[in-house]
Order: sequence, then structure tokens, then C-alpha cells
Amino acid sequence: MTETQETPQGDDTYFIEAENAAEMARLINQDRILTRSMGGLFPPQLDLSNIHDVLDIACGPGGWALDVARAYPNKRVTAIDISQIMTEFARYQAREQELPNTHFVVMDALKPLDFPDNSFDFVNARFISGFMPKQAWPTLIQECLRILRPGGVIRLTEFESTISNSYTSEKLGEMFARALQKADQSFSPTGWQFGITPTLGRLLRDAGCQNVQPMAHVIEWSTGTAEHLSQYQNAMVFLKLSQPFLVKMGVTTVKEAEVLYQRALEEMMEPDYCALWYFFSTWGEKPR
Amino acid sequence: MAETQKTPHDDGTYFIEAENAAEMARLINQDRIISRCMGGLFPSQLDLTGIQDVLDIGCGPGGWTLDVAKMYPDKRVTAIDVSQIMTAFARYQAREQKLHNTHFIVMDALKSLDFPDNSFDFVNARFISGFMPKAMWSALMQECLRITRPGGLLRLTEFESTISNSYAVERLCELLTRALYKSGRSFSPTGWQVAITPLLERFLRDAGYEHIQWMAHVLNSSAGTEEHLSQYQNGMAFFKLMQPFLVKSGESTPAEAESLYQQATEDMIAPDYCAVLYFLSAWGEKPR
Repeated sequence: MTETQETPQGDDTYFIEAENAAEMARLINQDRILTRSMGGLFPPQLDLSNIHDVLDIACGPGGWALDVARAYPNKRVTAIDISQIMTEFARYQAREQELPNTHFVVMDALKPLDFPDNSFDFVNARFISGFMPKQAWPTLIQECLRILRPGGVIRLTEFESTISNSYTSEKLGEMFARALQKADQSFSPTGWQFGITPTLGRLLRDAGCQNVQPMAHVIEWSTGTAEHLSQYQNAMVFLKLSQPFLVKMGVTTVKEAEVLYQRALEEMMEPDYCALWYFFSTWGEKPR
Repeated sequence: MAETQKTPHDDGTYFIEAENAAEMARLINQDRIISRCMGGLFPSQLDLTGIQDVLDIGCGPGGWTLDVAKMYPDKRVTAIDVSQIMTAFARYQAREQKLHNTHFIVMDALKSLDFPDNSFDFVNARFISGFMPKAMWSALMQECLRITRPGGLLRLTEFESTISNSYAVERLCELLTRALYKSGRSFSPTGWQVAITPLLERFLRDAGYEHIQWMAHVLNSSAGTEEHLSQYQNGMAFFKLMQPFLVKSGESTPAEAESLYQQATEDMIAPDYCAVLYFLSAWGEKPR
């Protein structure tokens, strides 16, 4: 659990480069909006009094972990990410905001987690599918159950594609679905959809979790709604940074990707642009 | 408002035949499950004391209406549907259950609604996109606004395609989505998604509704969940009943549709089957 271990950049599977400042800026904004759309930091039905030790997997710049540490000064929050710059940024934020109950560690979620058995009461993993090969999920969930205390809760949150009335966003979404399938990061058998959210509950149940519960969330970002501009900015960065991934997977060319990108940005600013982004949480308990 | 008016069978736009007993049986079960997934009959934040007159548009066999009438004996519930057998069934149910506060009428939601101005405090329209041509939404919204009292609400609830890990189910959903696109019921400019849910907020806003809110829901029908068996039965009926529509649209042949159907019925009962259906409610207030 040393903070100075080398960043395992070489075998990075995330479809956006992990040590990227633009991606970090995007995630900082995204974290806040996601938490708001989820109705809070924890599932609303959950009794938080038994939760002392919290782990956030792939914390990025630390948005969720820092918010938990601030809202619950009595809980200890550990957060891991493969990215050196993101964990450093999060650590800096924690110092600035005087949150001594946080601990940010560079760690690769695709390897065995460097924590003893029964260390945590709540393990959170939000939007990790971007770097998770399909076959890595069961292993990671087993690791999470190992480090969870009996009665502890693991929560997974993942997304499907934005759905919109923009021709080009739909085209890009479709390409993304195909690229994820080619990269073996999708559970869709045809590559039609991302197909990650339907399998989350099954992954938890197969690992032995009990009381598995689902919850849907949505961000509406049509023109004229509160999140339009924030999500436009998010898309501007995300779609740019994911271009190399789409090209690498052979679903588009550098030239076409750039044309679609420019056109998508224009369509997203149209006065009649309508868009929704569904995402999904599921959580379950480690048997007592 | 005569209950004997002729069923407008011939120009039926629903992609499943309206006067079909199997479809009716499917909807009876589906209504209850959808209400449960939505967390109740009305939006949970709503003050129901001001709501006296309720209208349900496209009520089918009357599941939602009858539940409202049962739970709130003081509210008057009117419900319309284009189908003669469904309204007759609902009327019969209301008599059996002694729900005198219900009124079921055969009426086509695609024509002018046969109610005076300012008649209702809450207008409900759930899963009507199956018979709504794209161009008809705005006219129906205007009609709803006309018959809603100032301060009254209109709630729309629509769904996107099922997302699953079964090849056959995913193919059938993709074919259905494309067939909906071809028949002018999809809001996706490419036919990749149904893309009706991103538009709901816009429909309300354009019609002049205020204080618009929305909420995402999910129906998880994976093996091992509470809804698995009911949704297996639902899927068996639904995928069968939509076959003629798929074939007519030119998206599939009878042989392919049947072979996918057979495979889908096997996949849906498999222990590793995973599927979710996202749907969205959006509601707004008529200006006072």
C-alpha cells in the first residue's frame, strides 16, 4: 500500500490515456454531476452507521472520495487509481480541504488489490468499464469481496450510450458500441449496444453477494436543460480523447472521426437537440 | 363520450394488433410490474390532495387505472383506449371489484379527445409510443393541455429498447428498433435507438407545460431476479406478437424471425440471461 509505487502505465487498458490533464478536468466535473444524478453519495436506502472504512476503486481525481470524506468526517476513505497525476491531484485537494480521513494510492484494479482481507465496509466502483476487459470483472469482484467485511456492501455503477436525436451522436454511439465489443470490453453479443449494465447484477450474484438491488439514473442534457452545457463540455473532451480508441479498433478512420466530431459538436448546440444518458447502479452485500 | 362508438380498428397504428387477447394478457401483467418499478402510481414527490379527476390515455386492460381507483376511492378515474376488448375487460374488472369511480371509454388518442376543456387534474400516458406516429405527438400534447385544469399535470412514460446479453434477444430488439424507425415511430435519425425518451421533456416544454421533472426507471429481468419469470412470459408473448410487424417492415423474413424467436425463448430462460429495460417518466404542470 505504498504511495510511491511506479505507475503501471505500460499495460494500461483504459481507452483514454490515464495521465491526461484534459481527461482529469473532465472527470472532476463529471464526478459532481454523477453524484447529484444518483441522489447522493450512497444508495438512499443504506444504513450508513455501520460503514467506517470506504474504498473507491478507480477514483480518478477523487471527486466521490473527497465528497464522502467531507460529508462524513468519521469515515476513513481510501481511494485507488492507476493514474499518478489523478491521485496526486486528489491528494493535493485533500490537503487543501483539510480532509485527513482520506488516503489516495496508485494501484491497478486489474491486479490483486493490495489490502488485507476484511478491510472495508463499502467498496465503490463507478464508471470503471472503460478499462475493464470483459473477463476481468469476476476477478475484480472476488477481490472486492475478499477485502470487504462480512455484511459490507459493494456498489457498481456503469452506463449505456447517450441516446439523442442527433444523427452524428447516434453514429458515434454506434461506433463506440462496436469498438467496445471489438476491444472485448462489452457484454453485447452483437456489438449493438454497450451492454454492460444488464450484467452488473449477475456479476454480483455470481460472486456470492446477497440482497442485490438495482437503481436507474439519468442525466438529461437536451438544449435548454440545466446540464446541457456541462455535458456538452464533457462530450467535447470525451469524444476527442476517445478518437484514437475508435481508430485503433478499426471502426473509423482518423479523418472520418474528426469530421464526425466537429459535426456532433455542432448538432449538440442546436436548439432542438435532445439527449439522455442512462446509467445504472447495483449493490449487494457480502454474506455475514 | 359514448361508450358504443365504433372501434377504429382499421387505421390502427399500434405495431401489435389492438384487439388481441394474448396482447391483453401480456399487458395485464406488465402494468403491475411497471408501476412497481416506477415506485408507485404517481410521482412520489407529488401532493395528491389537489387531484380529483384523473385520465389515463392508452389504458389497455386498465391496470394502472384500476389500481388508482382502488387506492384512491375519492378520485374519479377516466381511461381511454382504442381497443374494444381491452376497455370491455377493464370495465368488467371495475364492476367485479366494485370500483364505481372508474369510467372506461373506447377513444382514439390520435384524434381530438372527446372531453371539455379543463376536465382533469392528472393526465397519464404510459407506453403509448407503440401507436404514436412521430408527427402526432405535438397534437396530442396540445389536446392534453386543453383538457388539463390549470395547475394540473401531464405525465409521459416511455421506454428504450431492452439491452441484454443474448444474441437472439439483442438481434430482435435491433430489428424492432429499425422497424420502428422505418415506420416513422423512432426519433433516432439513424435508427440505432428508439430515442423516444430524450424527447419527452421537450414535448412537454413545447406544449407549454411548466416545472418539468423527470425520473429514470429500470426493469431488470435477468435470471435470478424477482421479475425474471414474469418478463420471460412477457418476452414470449411480445416477441411473437411483433413478428408480423418485423416482417412487414422488411427488416426480417418469417423464417429468420421465427428462428430468432425460438433461440430467444431458450436464452431468456437460461441461468446466465441478463437484461434491463430503461424507461423514463417526465411530467409537467399546466400554467395556472
